[in-house]
Amino acid sequence: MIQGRFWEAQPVELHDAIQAALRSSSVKLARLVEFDFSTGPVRLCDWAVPMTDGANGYEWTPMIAPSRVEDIKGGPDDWAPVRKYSMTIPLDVMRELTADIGPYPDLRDKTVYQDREASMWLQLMDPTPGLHGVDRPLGHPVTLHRGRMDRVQIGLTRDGVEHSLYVEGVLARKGVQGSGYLTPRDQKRRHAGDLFLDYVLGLPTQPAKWPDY
Amino acid sequence: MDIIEWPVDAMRVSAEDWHLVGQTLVSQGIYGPGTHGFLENRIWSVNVSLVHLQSSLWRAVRAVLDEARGQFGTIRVPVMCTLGLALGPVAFDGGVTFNGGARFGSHVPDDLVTKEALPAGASRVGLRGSLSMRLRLGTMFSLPGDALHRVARMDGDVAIVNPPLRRAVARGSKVEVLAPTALMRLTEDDGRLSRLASGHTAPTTLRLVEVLQ
Repeated sequence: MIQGRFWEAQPVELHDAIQAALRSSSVKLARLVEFDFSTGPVRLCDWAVPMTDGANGYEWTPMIAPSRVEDIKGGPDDWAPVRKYSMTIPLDVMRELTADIGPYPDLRDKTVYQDREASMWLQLMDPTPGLHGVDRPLGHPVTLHRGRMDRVQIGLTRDGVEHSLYVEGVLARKGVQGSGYLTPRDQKRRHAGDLFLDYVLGLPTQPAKWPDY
Repeated sequence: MDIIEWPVDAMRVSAEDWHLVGQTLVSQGIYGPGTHGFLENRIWSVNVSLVHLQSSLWRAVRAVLDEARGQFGTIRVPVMCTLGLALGPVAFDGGVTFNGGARFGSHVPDDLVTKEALPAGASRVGLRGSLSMRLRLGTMFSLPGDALHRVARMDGDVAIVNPPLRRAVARGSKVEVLAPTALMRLTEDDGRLSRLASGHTAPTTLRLVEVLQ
């Protein structure tokens, strides 16, 4: 029996159907990525046909290129972790796909994306297609990751364009300094008035102020 | 988008392998056989063999490749009729016609059309027209917009097809089974095509992938 928050989030009447689908060795699924840009949300899926999700009934634009979520890492010595969403679009399908997205925002303007939410979902699909053989969602999508967009990086290679978006999840440390080490200022932010780190040598920003005995 | 026409006669090639390329996610199970996740992101791909191309047609293909400018251009590629019947005026292989250029006549069937409006993602296509009785496993046809499909099985006058419809289709849309076409592009920029002293063509195959509109 599958338990936990995934299960609680699914409609009760679909529990049996979801259980049966998950027990099968073959499942039909879709990965969904939503960017809440200030110009309006952009919703993409890695299918070749548009699809709707089972929670809100949003339509997700086909993107084919599988999106990828990297391990949480970042900053010197991985002390300031972020998660990177990458979508490598092969050149042979890039032009049509980017045209399909339609009102894609101008990402040169940071206010369009910075500190706004991005999320990645997994939608289970019903093994039995609906009217006209159209695939339909089964249950609500499951969150794979959600966080806040921080910066965009676009790489051009010989074979395609890699569009990377750094998304800070709950494990990211907002406002950490470049070195990523915990500082006395961090400590005071979390525990007001705590002076402990002021007296630890080797921390980069705050020189130790030893008491005058 | 300018579309470059690939001459029908130059597609009477010795070999072709129209196939759908997609992606399956495989995860190893801890307690079971693992799960195969299917994403509906299949696109058409074909390797066209040109080894026996006649010299006059070789130049036509060379011109198509010039105009395509590598992967940039969209090419409307004819797909050989898979009904196994000579329907409509035809030339014999090699382009043999009457002296005046007229082709050989045969029975011209009425148009095959969709029986009802279909949404994007549909995989069951209802058909109307005398040719619907001739469709069988493996028959290929194209819908408006050069969307290529292959019949997986027939359920009365309803064709179950792969891939699902990329976009919605209106009722009464023409289903082209006699001369299906697909919008494709080259997978390589280097459009080399040489006529060898032996009379053969090199390279012997060109690879094309579907253009998503």
